[in-house]
Amino acid sequence: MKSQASERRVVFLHRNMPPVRGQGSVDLVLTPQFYTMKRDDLPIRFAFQARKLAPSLLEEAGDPETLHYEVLRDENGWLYFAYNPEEVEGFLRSKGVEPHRIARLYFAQQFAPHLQRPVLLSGGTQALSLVEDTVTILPVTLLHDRPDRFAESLPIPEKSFAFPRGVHPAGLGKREAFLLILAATIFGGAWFIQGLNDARSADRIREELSRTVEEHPTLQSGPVRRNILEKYSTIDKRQRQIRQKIRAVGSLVSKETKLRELEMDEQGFRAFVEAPASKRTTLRQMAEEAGLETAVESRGLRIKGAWK
Amino acid sequence: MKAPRGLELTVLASLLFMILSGVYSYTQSRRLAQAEEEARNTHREIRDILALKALWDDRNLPEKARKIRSLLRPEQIEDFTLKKRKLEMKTRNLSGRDLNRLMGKLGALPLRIRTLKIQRSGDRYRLECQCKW
Repeated sequence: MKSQASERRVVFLHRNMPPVRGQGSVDLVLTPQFYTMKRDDLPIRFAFQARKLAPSLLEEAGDPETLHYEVLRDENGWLYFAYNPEEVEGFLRSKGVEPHRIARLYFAQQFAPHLQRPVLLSGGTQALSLVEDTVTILPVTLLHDRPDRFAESLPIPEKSFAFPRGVHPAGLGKREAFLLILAATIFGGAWFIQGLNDARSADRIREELSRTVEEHPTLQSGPVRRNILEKYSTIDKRQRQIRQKIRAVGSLVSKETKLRELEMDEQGFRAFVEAPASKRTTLRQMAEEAGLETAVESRGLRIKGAWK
Repeated sequence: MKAPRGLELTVLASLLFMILSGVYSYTQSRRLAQAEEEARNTHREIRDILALKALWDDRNLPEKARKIRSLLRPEQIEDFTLKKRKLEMKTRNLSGRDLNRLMGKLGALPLRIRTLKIQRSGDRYRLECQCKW
């Protein structure tokens, strides 16, 4: 058992409770008014096995679709609890507590070891009492002595449970659930169809590509294709450069200017255009505009360049 | 009114369906984009190779290259050898007009010019060149 002193507020849920004030999370204790409990000493080892058995043991508690089941190990077997989360949520709201504020859940039965003497519930008209090892709610008027302490003063049990919140922290209504299903189905369907179309398109493109490649058996491999392409691109680039330079040098030749020499090899090119002094500046400008490297010499213009 | 458990499971199943469909759609769209990219690149490579091969590996080039001779008078030709995908040419005594014509033809043919040498002596030009294909 843990001390309550510095913990969250503990709310014992019972029909005559006053509204709960304040904000923040609460630890909720369900009193027998909100759960059905059964003891059974079947030789069950694990909690999940016991939980599976709970709906059949607690058939009288109501519709299993609306109920939530919990189990707790007892001295001689298991305690089986069934409660209706929807009912709890509705009642809590009526008392000013939104379900999302529930931090942990307990059952009043877990407080049995501390109920040798009854304790008062909030409101002061009812008390939690132990009757044949079962925690029960009794009117205070039926007790011999009025209890002198409140249930909230009891130590909190070690074992706690989670309050089921469905798929949404604040609970999901039927209408919202249907809308969500509809939206998810529409989006999911649209995406699925889109995916199918894309898959078919990708397959078709790959088939067409295979057919194209089969028409050129020597070009089937990507690396081979790239090698061949690189080889021819290099040739194409160099030869275009050569022709462009020849044209550029040719454009400098006129009646007053004459080509004296032109030489091209693997490394680059050199040329000399003879020109009268008055023409050399213009010629140089023209050559530079054509992208040629130039140097003015005594009889004309020297042009040179290397292949890039 | 809170949704019953069966409905919640349906909600979860539909959300799961939506997520899986989204992942499937995303995967397939990436696969399609890759296929398109691959097809585009492959087509471009093949098209470029075929075009460049047709240009620089022209099988009829020897015949076309022989026509260069017809541009010149026999006495202007020192050497004109077409052998093993190579052309070696030495010409002399070319006028400016002859040179222009010859250079125009050389430039127009898809020959791979390896060396080219033009020298002027007086009003006449000498041209040597080595080409291959």
